[in-house]
Amino acid sequence: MKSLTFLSLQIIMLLLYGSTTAQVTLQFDHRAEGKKLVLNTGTYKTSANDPVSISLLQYYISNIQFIKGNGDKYTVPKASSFFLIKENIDSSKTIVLKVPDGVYSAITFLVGIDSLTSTLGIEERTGVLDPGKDMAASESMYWTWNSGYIFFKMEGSSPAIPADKTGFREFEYHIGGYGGYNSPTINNIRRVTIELPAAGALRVRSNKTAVVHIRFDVLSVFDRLDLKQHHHLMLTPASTQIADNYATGFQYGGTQYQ
Amino acid sequence: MSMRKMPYIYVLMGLVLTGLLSGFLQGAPAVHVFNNQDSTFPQPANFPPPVYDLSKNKFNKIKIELGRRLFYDGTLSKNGTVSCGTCHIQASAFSHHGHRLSHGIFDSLGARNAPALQNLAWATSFMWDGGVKDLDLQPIVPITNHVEMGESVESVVEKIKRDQYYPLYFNAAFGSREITTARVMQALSQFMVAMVSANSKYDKVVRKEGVAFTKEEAAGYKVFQQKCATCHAEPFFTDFSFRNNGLYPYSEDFGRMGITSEPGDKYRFKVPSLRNIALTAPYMHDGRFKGLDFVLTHYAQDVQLTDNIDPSLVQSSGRAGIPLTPADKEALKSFLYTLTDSAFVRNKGLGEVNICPQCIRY
Ligand code: HEC
Ligand code: HEC
Repeated sequence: MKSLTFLSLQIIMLLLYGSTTAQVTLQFDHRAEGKKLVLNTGTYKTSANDPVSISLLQYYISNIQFIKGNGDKYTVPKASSFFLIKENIDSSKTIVLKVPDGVYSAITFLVGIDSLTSTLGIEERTGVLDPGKDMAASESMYWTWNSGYIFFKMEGSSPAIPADKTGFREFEYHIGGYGGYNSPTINNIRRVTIELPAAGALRVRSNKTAVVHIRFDVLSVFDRLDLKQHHHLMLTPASTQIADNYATGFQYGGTQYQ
Repeated sequence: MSMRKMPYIYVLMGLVLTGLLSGFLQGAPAVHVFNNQDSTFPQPANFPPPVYDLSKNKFNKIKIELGRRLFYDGTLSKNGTVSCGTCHIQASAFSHHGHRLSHGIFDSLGARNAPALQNLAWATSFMWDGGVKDLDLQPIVPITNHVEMGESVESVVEKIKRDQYYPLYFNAAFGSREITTARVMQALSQFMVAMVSANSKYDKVVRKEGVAFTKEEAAGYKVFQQKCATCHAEPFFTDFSFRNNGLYPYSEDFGRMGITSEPGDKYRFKVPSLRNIALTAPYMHDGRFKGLDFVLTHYAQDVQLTDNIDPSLVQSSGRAGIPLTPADKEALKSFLYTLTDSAFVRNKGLGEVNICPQCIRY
């Protein structure tokens, strides 16, 4: 009996929930020196005054939540909460979600893939989680030799970097590490919370589409790094500095209602 | 009525398709016929239950046949000449016999020795450094490694999709023609899970199947239990842990530390199984020892006290290594030879399917 009433309650909740959601779009804008990032040809100065240019930028956004002023949360269902943002593919920078009506004061998400998902069985790794994805184009976000996803990948060059044997001055930041399967390893999962300004709370109403801009300051990645030393970082202790850096690089960029 | 007829039809379809899978259509003789009702995991009585989760990838003879084809198919490499079977040769318990470091595509050399593939259903991690935690994710490593097969998983999947026969086989194995990364990996895992080696003389003695050790073998077993079994634990002859057994560090290969970044893991490598050891020379992660005599000499007198040396290799006097008399060594070798499972290396169901005439064979 008890479980029956509970069930019907849930169904009613579901119906209510289902009937009053609206579309919210998260739009990721990649910026450098306050302008739209231009791959390859754009040259920018880091906080240490080193000139850099960027040839590749891509990262995972997952486990998105919308938070109300009173602390109530709406969590985007896990199965549809994994996105791969790629600077060179415009459509990837737009995340379209269904969110229940309400007024929200913050949006939070992971940069990377949570540890549970990082250890899923192969049959559940589909779409952007397919470990075979984008390998042909050398844009894979998966480490084969140390099973796990690369959360954040940025590559480029800078004259501040010593030339390698072939004369190139490149940097490659491949940041991942979910804390280890059963023996602890580096954990570079970062949760970013975007606080919306009091006057600009996100109003989700069924007849309107909201487009929330999230700016990512690409140059934040280089803060407190010494390019002379830190030009190739993968799964080493220094990688946590980069994860800390990019976690601070995401900022609120305004909302449009359509 | 019709419902009751269905299973019969499926069995028939299954038999026909397994016939196809055995290479019948492409002209290779069908060596053996599997029956898809006979899909129970061959659990040896002296082994614990498998670690590999068979509930997610049900043990199924047709899937194994498909995995076997993929395993021996050069399509998985960039130029079609290297299959998994190139480096993992059945006659040497799926190791790369005679090759210190494995040759792969374009004859490039890898950095490590190809280990035997056996009893993978019980392994808790893969690779010498344990970097891969799930057998289903292992095949991605060689496929994409530029010195091994040099291919991308995406284009392997594309090539397989375009093949005349594979979609048919996937249908038989998985119930639809869809070919995905996951299905390719699961088929390969199935085949590797079927690589169960548990019929050596040692196993028959332990299971009391009317076989006994000779005096020399029994003496060797005693020495082994006292001096080697802390790490090479029965019944797998490994405890699957990572340890430093005191090899001289010739290279920058730090083993487990490459995965965990922990200085405490420097020079630790996965304890390898010693099953079929007589067939898998050369030995150690870099294949430095050509024969068992060299290995025993190492333990007796060449153990180096490098970072994180395993405490069991430091004697109370502070001397490094394991004291072994010449008689101990001879007895140990006799015992180690009883770990050879000739039924395993001759098992036709695991053997090469001749679909890759252009593949490199060593
Ligand atoms: C060029 C030679 C080569 C080819 C081709 C190759 N392997 Fe390997 N394999 C190796 C080497 C070398 C290792 C050990 C690597 C290490 O530990 O760093 C290995 C390790 C493994 C392991 C881990 C075993 C253990 O106990 O840790 C498995 C499983 C495996 N290979 C399966 C495959 C499969 C499946 C394929 C085909 C998709 C394949 N290999 C193709 C050389 C090869
Ligand atoms: C402290 C744990 C430990 C003990 C004790 C130990 N081993 Fe090992 N053994 C290892 C490890 C670890 C490796 C792999 C090392 C590497 O390649 O870096 C290994 C490798 C081997 C190999 C090579 C296997 C292959 O496939 O390459 C043989 C053979 C071997 N051991 C035999 C023995 C014998 C015989 C004894 C007893 C006299 C013994 N071991 C004692 C840890 C141990």
